[in-house]
Amino acid sequence: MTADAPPLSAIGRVARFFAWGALAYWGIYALVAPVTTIDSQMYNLARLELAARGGLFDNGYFTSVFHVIFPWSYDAVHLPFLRLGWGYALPSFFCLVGTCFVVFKMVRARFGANAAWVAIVSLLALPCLVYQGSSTKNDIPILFCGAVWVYARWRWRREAKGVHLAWMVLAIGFMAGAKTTGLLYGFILALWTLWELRSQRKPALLVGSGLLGAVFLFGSVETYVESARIYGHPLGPPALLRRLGNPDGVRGGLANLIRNLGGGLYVGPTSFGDDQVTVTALSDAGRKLLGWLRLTDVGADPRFGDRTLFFRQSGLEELSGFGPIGMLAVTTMLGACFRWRPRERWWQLAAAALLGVCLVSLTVAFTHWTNRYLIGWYALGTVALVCALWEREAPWIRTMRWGFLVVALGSAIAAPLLSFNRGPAAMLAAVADRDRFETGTFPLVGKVRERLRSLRAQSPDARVYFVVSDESVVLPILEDQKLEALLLTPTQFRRIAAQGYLASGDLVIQESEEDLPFLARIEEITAPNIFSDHRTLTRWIYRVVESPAPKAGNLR
Amino acid sequence: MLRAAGKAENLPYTILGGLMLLSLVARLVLILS
Repeated sequence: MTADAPPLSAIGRVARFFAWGALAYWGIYALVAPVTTIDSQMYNLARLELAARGGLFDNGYFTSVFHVIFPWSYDAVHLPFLRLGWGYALPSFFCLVGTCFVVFKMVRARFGANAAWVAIVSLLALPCLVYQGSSTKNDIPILFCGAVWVYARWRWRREAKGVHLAWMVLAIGFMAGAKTTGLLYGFILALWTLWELRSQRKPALLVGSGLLGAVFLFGSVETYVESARIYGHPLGPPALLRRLGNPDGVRGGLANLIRNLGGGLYVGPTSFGDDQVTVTALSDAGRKLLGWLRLTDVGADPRFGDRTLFFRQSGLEELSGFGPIGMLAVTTMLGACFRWRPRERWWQLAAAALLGVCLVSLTVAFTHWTNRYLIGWYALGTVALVCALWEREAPWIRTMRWGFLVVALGSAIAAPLLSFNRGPAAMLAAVADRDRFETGTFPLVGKVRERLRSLRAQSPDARVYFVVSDESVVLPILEDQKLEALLLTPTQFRRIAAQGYLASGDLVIQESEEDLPFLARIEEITAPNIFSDHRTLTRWIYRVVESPAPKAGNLR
Repeated sequence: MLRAAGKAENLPYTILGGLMLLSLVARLVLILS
C-alpha cells in the first residue's frame, strides 16, 4: 500500500501501525472462528449443507422459507470452508480488506497518505463494520461490491481502459446475487453506469449485454426462479415480503430514519445486564420522539415495535451500533444538511451517506438488526469526516485530526474487547473450546447437540429427527455428520409417523410450536438465550417408545 | 484481465474475482448435488 506514497508524518505513522495491527487481529480471528452468527446457523450456511444433500431445486430437505427465498451467490462462497472446518469468516474479511484498500487509494490520491491511514483506522473503529467483516453474513459483500464499482469507475475515468468498465459490471452482478437489497443497489448502479455511457453507443451496448450476462452468472437467478416456482413470487411469499419491507411509505421511512440515526448516537458501550441506564434513556427518548410525531410502530417489522426499541451500542455482531466514530459520522451526515458545500468532497460523501440511510429507511422495515444494512452508509459518512478534516489546513484542524485519531484508535481497540465473542479470550476459545464457542449466541443448540451425542452413543441405531420451525438453528446439528439428523417440518413429521417409519428408540428433537403428545418425552433442555425476552428457551428431546405407527387420531 | 488481477493496485478486483469464481463453482456443485 505504501510503494509510491510520500513520507508519512507522525499521525500517519501512528495510524498505519494500528491499522496493520487491527487488520492482522481480525484476519487471525476470521481464520479461527467457527460460524457464530445465528442467521448463518439458521439459513445462510445451513442451506449449503442441505443443498449438498438434495440440490437446490425441489429439495425436500429445505424446511424453512429462508432456505429458499434468499439469493445465495455470496453464501455459496463458504462451501469449501464448511468442508475445511476453518476460515469461515475469511470471505468477509477479504471484503473488509478490499473496501479498506479502495478507501486508502482514493483518499490518498486526493488528500495524501496521512489522511488515507487515518481513514482506514476510522473504518476499523466502526464495531458493526468489523463484526460483519469477521462474520459469515452477506451484508459486507454489498459494501465491498459498491466499493469496487466506485474504484473501477474512478480508474476508468482516469485511465480510460475498458477493463475497469468490465469490473463495474461484474461488481453489479455479484451484488445482485449476494443479498436481496443488492438488487436495489445493483439496479441503481446499473442505471448510473449506462447514464455515464449515454453518448457512447457501442460501449453502452457492451455494458448492457455484460450486465445481463453478469446477473445471469452471478446474480443468483436460480434462487429467484425456485422462489417464484414455490411461492409465486421471485422474492418470496408476499406476506413475508410485506413484513420485511417498510409497509408505511414516507411516514415509515421518516420513522425508520429517526430509529436508524438514533441508533448511531453513542452513549457508551452496552453490556448484557439490565442496568444500562444511558442507553435505556436514549432509547426512551427515541420512543417519545416517535410518539410525539405520531410515528409509533410505523415502518417497523410488527415483531419489533417501539415498545422494545433499544439502541444497542456494541458487543453483538447481529445488533451492534457504530460506536463514537459512528456518532461522528451521523453528525457529519446531518452537518451536510446545514452547511451547503456541494463542491467539497466531504459534503458530497456525507450527502450520499445520508441519502443511503434514507433509502434503507424507506425500503427496509426496522428490526433490531437493521444496523448491518447500514454499514456502507456509516462507512461513507466516516470517510466524509476524514475528508472534511483534510479539506483545508489550519493549526486547530491539525489538533482536531489528532483528537479524531485518538477516538478512532480507542474504538478500534475496544471493538473486539467489548464484544462477547470477538476478544482475545474468545479467540482462544474458538480453538480450545470450539463447540461451546460456536453456539455461544444460542447455547441451547449446543446443549441439545451434546445430549444427542450422548444418547446416540448409548443407542447407535437410533435415528434422529429434528422437527423444526422456520427459524430453527440447524447448522450445529447438521454439521455433526455422526448424528445424521433429518430435518422435518411438523407436517412432514406427522406424515412419516402416520406411515409407521418411526422405530422404537428413535430420537425426536422438537423446536416447532407443535405438541407431539404421541411421543414419550425424555428430556427438556433449557439454556439462556440473549434474543429472548425471558432469556431462556426450551427444546424437548423425545424418544420414540413404540415402533408401530400411532393412531391417526393422535397425530393431529 | 487475469494478468491485471496480479497487480497490487488491482487487489479489489482480485478479491472480487476470487469470490465470484468460488461462488460459481460452489453453486454448480450444490445445484447438481
